[in-house]
Amino acid sequence: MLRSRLHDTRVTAPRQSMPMTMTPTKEFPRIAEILRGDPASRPPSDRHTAAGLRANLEDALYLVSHGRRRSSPLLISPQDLRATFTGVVRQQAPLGRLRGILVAEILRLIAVGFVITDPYLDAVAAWMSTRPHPESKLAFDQLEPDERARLATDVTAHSVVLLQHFGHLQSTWNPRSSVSIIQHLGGGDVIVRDRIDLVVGSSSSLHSSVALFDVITGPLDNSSELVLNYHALLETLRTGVVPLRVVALSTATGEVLRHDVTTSLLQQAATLVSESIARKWSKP
Amino acid sequence: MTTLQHRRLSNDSLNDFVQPLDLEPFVFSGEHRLRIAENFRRIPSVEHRRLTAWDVEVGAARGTAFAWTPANARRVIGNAGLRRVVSDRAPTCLIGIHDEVDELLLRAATGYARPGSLPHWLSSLHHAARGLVIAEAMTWASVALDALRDIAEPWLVPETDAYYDVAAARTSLRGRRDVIVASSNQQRIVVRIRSGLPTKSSGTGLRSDLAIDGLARPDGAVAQRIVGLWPDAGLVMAVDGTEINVRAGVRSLVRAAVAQQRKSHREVA
Repeated sequence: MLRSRLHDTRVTAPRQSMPMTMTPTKEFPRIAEILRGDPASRPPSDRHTAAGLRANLEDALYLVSHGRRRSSPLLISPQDLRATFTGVVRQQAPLGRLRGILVAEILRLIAVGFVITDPYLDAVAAWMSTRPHPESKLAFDQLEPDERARLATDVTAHSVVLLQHFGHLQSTWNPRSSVSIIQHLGGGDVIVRDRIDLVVGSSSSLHSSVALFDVITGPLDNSSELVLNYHALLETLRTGVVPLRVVALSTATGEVLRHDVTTSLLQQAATLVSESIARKWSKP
Repeated sequence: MTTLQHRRLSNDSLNDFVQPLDLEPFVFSGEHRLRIAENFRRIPSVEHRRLTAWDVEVGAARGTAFAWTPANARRVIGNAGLRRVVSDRAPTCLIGIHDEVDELLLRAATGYARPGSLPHWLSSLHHAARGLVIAEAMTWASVALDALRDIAEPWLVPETDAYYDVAAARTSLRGRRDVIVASSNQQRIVVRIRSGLPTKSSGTGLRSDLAIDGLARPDGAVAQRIVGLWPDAGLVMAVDGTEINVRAGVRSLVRAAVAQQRKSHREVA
């Protein structure tokens, strides 16, 4: 009786359907797995390169300054590196800037295992609790309702990509988010600044394990690579230990950029920083 | 002459700085305490005065009134999470921080938190903002643990900062301390963790913290050394607990009180 009823309710009659191939949804490379990599293949910690890089930077600075001191320090940031590469300082549109800020807040939350319920509302609540920069706050407050709706949609879409790609981060990796780095060069004449979205691993381990991660809400380009190298350089100068790798995810395209940090990569970054210093030093 | 040692932060440099010293640290006597109180009493204040090393470093340029944010709550919660890890009450910093936040929220829920306190503020937050507090605290604790992991001497995270109420001077001194390294001969080295870059007045701030730490102890024994750690800048500074350094620290605190008084006079005028 039951069998016949099942038979009656089938859309396709028995033995009439053809063999079928199930295609699972495309597997994304998980950021957490990329950051961790294969622990067995990690190189020993490099604690010698940092001193050489600092010496190179100091030498390059001396060639520019000829020993003259500045009345106010020269500030170098990742934007200057982009300008060295593209020739112009690109100003991000307010909506794009706000989107970047809010998606970075989402990254901070998921790095500590926070369950995101509404990406936009959660990001705004988290951002507002930080007493945001007055300029950004004003830009947010002055958004028209349609712009705000667009921002909410944008943040939600980018957060979904981030959540899909991120994977699960073990708390034993000690995730540090929005890590600030400030380095003095030339006795304080030059201040090199950076902020890395996420750092995992320990610089005190025998094997290299520190991985740096940046989330980018635009498409990846050559300047993204430069900024990653800059992160690696500054982390090396700060801790005295060369990090294992740098990774960036574009939440606009889902592309992942990954580089294992090498001495030549750090030297390239040091050269770019030297060029940025030389370019800015001569300006009044 | 006061002394200030300055090195790049590495496991070796930090280990060198926290090694026990062949130094008899300064001890505050009852007479010293009386003289300090007299100095503060000479600087009248309408309100109760609270002084920290930060006041010493910025002089009278202190900004707006204090309000909790994830960035300024991270030290308290991050250190508490770290304390749980060091005392084996939590397997990781993140679990320790979650436990601490839960405890603070419980205190607020049971009515044991006064308005304006950390538990009260935490309980008023959106859950995502609370997540950000955890992220900030996690960053603080992880950076600290990474720097301190390989210290050869036993260390602990103290429950509170050092507080000293100056007798009949309407003045409280607060000395910040993040880690205490207790070497084998029972002498202490205090470690402070700071954000950003050290400034020209950071040494003065360290001396003030060193002095307050000694004053807060019933026996008046000053730590052998105070070590300032700037992980953002990768720098470490140290001030030894000699009489000259401690006296300089106390003088800076008195000057900060004078600067505060002048500022409040200007504001009234």
